[in-house]
Amino acid sequence: MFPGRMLFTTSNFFGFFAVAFAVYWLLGRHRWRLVWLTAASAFFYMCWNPWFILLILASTSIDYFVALRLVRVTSPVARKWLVALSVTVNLGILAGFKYAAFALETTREVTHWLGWTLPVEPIKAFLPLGISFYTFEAISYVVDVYRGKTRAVRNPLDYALYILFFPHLVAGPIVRPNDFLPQVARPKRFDWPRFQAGVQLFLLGLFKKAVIADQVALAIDPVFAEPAKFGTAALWLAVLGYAVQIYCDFSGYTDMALGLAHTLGFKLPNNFNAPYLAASPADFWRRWHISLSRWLRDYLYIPLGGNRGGPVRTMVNLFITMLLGGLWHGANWTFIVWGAYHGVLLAIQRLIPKGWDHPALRPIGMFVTFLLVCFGWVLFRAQTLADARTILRGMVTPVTGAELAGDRALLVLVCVFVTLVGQALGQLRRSPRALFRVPAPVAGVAMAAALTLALVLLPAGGRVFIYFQF
Amino acid sequence: MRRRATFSRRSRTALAWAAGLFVAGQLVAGLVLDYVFPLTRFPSAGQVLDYAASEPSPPAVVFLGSSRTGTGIDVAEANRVLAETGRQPPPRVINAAVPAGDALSAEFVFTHLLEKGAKPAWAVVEVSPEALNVRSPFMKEHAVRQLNWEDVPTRLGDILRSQAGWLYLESRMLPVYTHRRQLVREAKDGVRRWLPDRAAAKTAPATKAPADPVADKKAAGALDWDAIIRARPNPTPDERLEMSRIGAQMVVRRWLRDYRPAGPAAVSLERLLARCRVEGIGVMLLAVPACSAHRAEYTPEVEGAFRGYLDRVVAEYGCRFVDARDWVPDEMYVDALHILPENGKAFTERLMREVLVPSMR
Repeated sequence: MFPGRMLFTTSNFFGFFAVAFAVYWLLGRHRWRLVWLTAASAFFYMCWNPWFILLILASTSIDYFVALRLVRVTSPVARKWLVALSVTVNLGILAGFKYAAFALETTREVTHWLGWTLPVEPIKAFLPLGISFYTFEAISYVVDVYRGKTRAVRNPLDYALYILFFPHLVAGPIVRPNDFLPQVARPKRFDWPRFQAGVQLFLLGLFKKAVIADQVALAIDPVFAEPAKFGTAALWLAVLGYAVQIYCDFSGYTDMALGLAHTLGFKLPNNFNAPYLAASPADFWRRWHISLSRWLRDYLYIPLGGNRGGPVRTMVNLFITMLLGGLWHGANWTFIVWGAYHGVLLAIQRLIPKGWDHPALRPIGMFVTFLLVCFGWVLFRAQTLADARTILRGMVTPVTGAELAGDRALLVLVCVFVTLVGQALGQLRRSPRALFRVPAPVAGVAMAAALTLALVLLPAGGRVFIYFQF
Repeated sequence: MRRRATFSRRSRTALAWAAGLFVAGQLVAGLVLDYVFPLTRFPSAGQVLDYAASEPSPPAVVFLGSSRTGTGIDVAEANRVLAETGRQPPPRVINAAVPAGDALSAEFVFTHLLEKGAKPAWAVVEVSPEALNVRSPFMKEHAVRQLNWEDVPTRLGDILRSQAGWLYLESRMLPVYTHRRQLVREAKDGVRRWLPDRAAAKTAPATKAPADPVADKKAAGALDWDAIIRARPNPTPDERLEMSRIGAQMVVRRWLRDYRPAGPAAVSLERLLARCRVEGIGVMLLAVPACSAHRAEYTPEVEGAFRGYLDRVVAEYGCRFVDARDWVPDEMYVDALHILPENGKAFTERLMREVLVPSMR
């Protein structure tokens, strides 16, 4: 019944989207369109695993009813209990699927190290697609209703579409209720410029994914699989390549999601703003995975006290926020250490005097930040902490070993150059209207060329996006 | 309002340009692939032709057919038997079989071999009831590898009958997508040739270079059939028999539905035979070995129609038919269709000694 997994880069998805798009705009009434879009989104999700739709329905039903109840209940204690119930259920499900196996394995290792044997068999982790993303969206809805920042939606269909809307369902961006729900209420009209913008964004994302990320991955994957066999130059190239791969993979996915949403008349929040041009770690997190950074700021860092408790307390809050942000990415020590590393960077940045952010020093800041972020990517990409240590040691102290073949090295360097120049050029664009000042034939040539190149380089069967695993 | 209309018109124009250029680009790329680089569409044929071009002299015998001929013919063994004839220089064979091959692909490969000057004294052409059925089992592969725009009037019916319509449409309308893997591979090879690869020797620890790659390649033939067939490691004899039985019932029975020896494969076969007659090339039609479960699928009606067709063809084109379907015991097969490549030696020796070498005299 279901045609198989729906990556944005597969013919399955193109077929699905063509039908979903055509029927959506052919339907005359706004309500019918919403029903159709919700049904199409549920179908999209069920193509990955039909049973997990039940999990979404169960958890989001609770949030829907809790939000409605919050409107009626006036007692502060009862309201707190209601929010606690919703957050506990959401995080409980997330923890159960994502962290139970890791926690058990860690406990087994610790008890084994202490000389005891835990009489429990290891369990296999099985992660429902997109659970980390829709859990955060559900929490933000309930908390915003509790805080009075958003109104509880009466129509369950609106709330279902907020969670299930297929462009953002499996890997974000993490949508806020205040951004999305008003758009659900607003009737849509087909708009050619918006459709063109959507197509261009989708093609840009497809280009980033197929032409850059997937090709770089083929070149550098062998290095991360067996880092001890490679020399310093290969390790540096692999890390630089991974910086490009993860950016083009994730921002490519985001561009595709934004583009698809545009063609349907919705606007999703942007997730990236030239992150490798950041001049400091804090600046990097204002530009990288922006929807997650803002979520962590609003629902974790500020409730922890933010910067209201003095410098030390601020640094502790930053560290805790980033540590949990790392853990959100996956149940693995590499992600926890990666989060802690960024927490430390942010804390250290608080100690640097103000004068250092002078515009003249910005290029130095950009270079140092890029290097620091690349060191962080080693922790993020390595399969184990031991592998990460091997790579980092090989990067800072010269080691001999295999090197990347000339064509692969050239590919990585070209992709690094193209990505950095692309980010710099992206910063020069002053207005979204600039897009429409490009002569129509030039825009047409660019779109046709991007699509052709992406089609040539698409891997057989489609390569999964990195952030699908989170 | 006026500005909005301007933007709208400009967007429609840009999208029309994009769609038009994309479609035009695909059509042009398709024509270039069809008529300038046809072997990019059919890479296994390209490998066979490269192999033939690397031979010092034209072959004495060319084997044309599918993976069944590919795994069944041991090139080294065939050359060894031919060397015993004492002719100088020793005559050599080329195994020009390709995966999912039949008379259509055989004609394609043979035509290109002749164009490259590799004219053999003998052509051994694989035939089987299923490959000559009016509904070709390999039409999906042909749609991607060989059929051009000019085949639409003559082949469209066959393509639709063989449920290859979608693939044919994709290969016509999106040729750079259909052939992307080969295009990328050839582009990468081009870059590698262009780059001074100082690091190549130190890279790719997983790849093991053979001691003498040229000699190894020559001994194995044009294609690596071990890799293509991908035999399961160490199946028991019972497992092999079971796989053959299931394969015969699932695959061969389907291929033989509505049996009638006609259609595109029969047309190509007869065109190939006519060409050989013109060129003075001896032809042997070889019914390649089939396991007993496979042979059991040939009902008397199928067998009668097949033999009747071959009798006519043999008489008309003056070629010879050799039925080797029961020459190989069942335990030598890896599945319903293929002899294990390492078991091809005995079959090759018998074919050469009993049939080919006497014919060549």
